[in-house]
Amino acid sequence: MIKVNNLNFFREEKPVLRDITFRIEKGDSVAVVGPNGAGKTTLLKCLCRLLRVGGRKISIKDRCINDYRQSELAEITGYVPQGSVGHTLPYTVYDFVSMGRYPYLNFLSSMASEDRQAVEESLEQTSMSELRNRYLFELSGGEQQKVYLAAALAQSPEILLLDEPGAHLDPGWNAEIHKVLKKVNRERKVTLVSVTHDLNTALAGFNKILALKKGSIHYFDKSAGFADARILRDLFNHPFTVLDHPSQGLKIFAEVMK
Amino acid sequence: MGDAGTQFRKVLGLAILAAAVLVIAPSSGMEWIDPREVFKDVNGMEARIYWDLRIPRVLASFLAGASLAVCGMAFQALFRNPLATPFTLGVSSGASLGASLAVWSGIHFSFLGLNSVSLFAFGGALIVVALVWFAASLNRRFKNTYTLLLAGVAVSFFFSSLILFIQYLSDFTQSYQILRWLMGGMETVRFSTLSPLLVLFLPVMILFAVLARDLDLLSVDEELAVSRGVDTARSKALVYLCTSVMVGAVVAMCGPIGFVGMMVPHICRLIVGWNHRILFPASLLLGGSFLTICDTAARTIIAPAEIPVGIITAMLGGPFFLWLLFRRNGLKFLQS
Repeated sequence: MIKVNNLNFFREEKPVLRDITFRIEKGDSVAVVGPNGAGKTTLLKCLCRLLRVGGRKISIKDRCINDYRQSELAEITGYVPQGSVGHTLPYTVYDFVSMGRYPYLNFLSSMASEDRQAVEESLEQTSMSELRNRYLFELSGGEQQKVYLAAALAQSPEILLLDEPGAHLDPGWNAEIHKVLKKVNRERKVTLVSVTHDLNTALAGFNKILALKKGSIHYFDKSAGFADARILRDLFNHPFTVLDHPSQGLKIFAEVMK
Repeated sequence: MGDAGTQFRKVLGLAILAAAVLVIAPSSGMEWIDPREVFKDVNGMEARIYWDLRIPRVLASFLAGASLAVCGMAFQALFRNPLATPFTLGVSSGASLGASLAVWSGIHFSFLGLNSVSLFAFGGALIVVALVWFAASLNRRFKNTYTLLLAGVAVSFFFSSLILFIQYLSDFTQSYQILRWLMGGMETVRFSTLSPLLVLFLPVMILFAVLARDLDLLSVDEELAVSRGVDTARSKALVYLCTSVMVGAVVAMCGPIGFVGMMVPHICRLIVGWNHRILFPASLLLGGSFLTICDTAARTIIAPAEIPVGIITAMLGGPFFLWLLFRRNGLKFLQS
C-alpha cells in the first residue's frame, strides 16, 4: 500500500528524515512514535504530499506519489491534521464533513446519492449523526476531533493519516477516537498511520509500531515486540517498566519516575 | 443557517431585491422618469436621460458593487482574515497612483472610449498586481499566503506615499481633482466607459462559481485543503489574478469605493452562512444592490449636486453592520 525507499528530507539544510525505508501493507494499522522533533509529523506530511519529496522515494499503491494529481491522491489518502481540535469555524458538522467529498465532485455537480451516502456513513461511524446540524464551534474538543475524522472518512480513503488524533483529549475521548479507528480499520480495511505520544494506545490499538529517533527508524515491526524496556529507554533516553495488564492479557508501559 | 430550502429562499429574496433595485433605480434621480414613457418616445429628452445617462450608471454601480463584494469574499477566504478587502493587496493604490499621475501630468487622450485617467488607473492596477506577484515569488515561502498579504500591504503603503507626493506637487485644481477621484463616484460613467467591466464581469464571476468549493476549504486551512484534493497553488493564483484584474477595472471606472468589498461579504455570512456556493450569489446580489442604492442616493439627496458615493456607502453600511454584529451569535459567524 505504502512503500518508502531511502527517503531523506531536509529542512533549511538540516536533515529531518534520514534514509527511511519501510513498507506498509493494506489493512495494517501503524502507530508512529518517537521523541519530539524525531520527524514523525514530517514523515506523515510526506506521505500525503503536504511536503514534496523529489524523485521516486514514496509510492502509494505501487505508483509514485508525485505522479498523482492532487484530487486523485485525496481519493486514496485522508488526513487528520494535528491540533485540529479547537477550531471555531462557522460551518455545520454536515457541511464540514461534506467538504470531504471534494475530490469526487466537479464544479457543476451537487452531491449525488453516493456522495450523500458516504457522508452519512462517516457520520454514522463516528456516531456524529445526531449533531449534524450543530456548528463546529458549539462542539467539545472530543466531538470536534471526531468531526475532523468523519470529514477524512468521507473521502472514502484507503489510507488514513492521523497526526496525534488523541492529543488534548481526556482518556475517555481518546479511547472513543481509537475505538472508531479500530472499527474503520477492521470493517472498511482502511490502512492507518497514526502519529501518537500515547505509548499504551500504540501498543493496544495498532498492529505495528514505527519508532523514529532523530529522523531514522529505530524500530519497525509488530507492536508486541515493542514492549521491551530497553528499546524504550534507548528511544526516549528515559527508563520505563513493562508490566502485564491485570485483566486484558497485554503489556503496558509505566514510566519510572525519579 | 437553516436547511437548503431556507438558504435558497434567502438567495431568492436577495435576487428579488436586486431586480427591484435595477427596475426602480434608473427611474429615480433629480426627476422621476416613468419607465413606460421612455418606450413611447424614444427620442425625447426623458428617454435620452434614461438610456444614455441613468441606465449605464445603474449598470455600472451594480456591476461594480457586485464585483467588489465577490472579490472581497474571495480574499477574505483566501487570507482567512476578516479584515481583507479587494484593495488589501494594493490594487486600488496602484490605480490611484495611475489616476493621480494622469491628472498631474495633464495628459489627455482616449482609447476605446476610455479617458486617460481611467487608462492610467487601470495600468497602475496591473503594475501593482505584477509587482506584488513578483515580490511574493522572490520569497521561497510564497506558498504562505501571509507573504502575499504582507507584500501587498507594503506595496500599497509605498504607492500611497507617492500619491501624497504627487498631490503635494500639484496645483490646487489638480489636487482637488485627485482628491475627488480618490473619493470614488459614478458621475462620468457612459456605456463606453462601462465596456471593460462588462467584458470581464461574466467570465470572472463564472470562475468564482467554479472555485466555490475550493474557497470553502481554503477558508478552513490550507493544508487541509491540499489533503482534500485542492490544487491550492492553481486555485490561489486564479483567485488572486482574477480578483486583481476585476478590481482594477472597477477602480479605473469609478475610483476606490470602500466598504462594499469588506462589509457586504460579512453581512452575507451573517445571513446565509459560510458555504461559498450560497455565499457567492448572495454577495454578488447584495453587493450590486447595495452600491446601486447608495449611488442613487448620492445623485438624489442634494440634487443637482452629488455626494461622492464612497461617503454614502460607509455612512449607511457602518451602523447597519454594527447592528448585525452585536445580534446574538453575530461575532461567532465572523471568526475564522
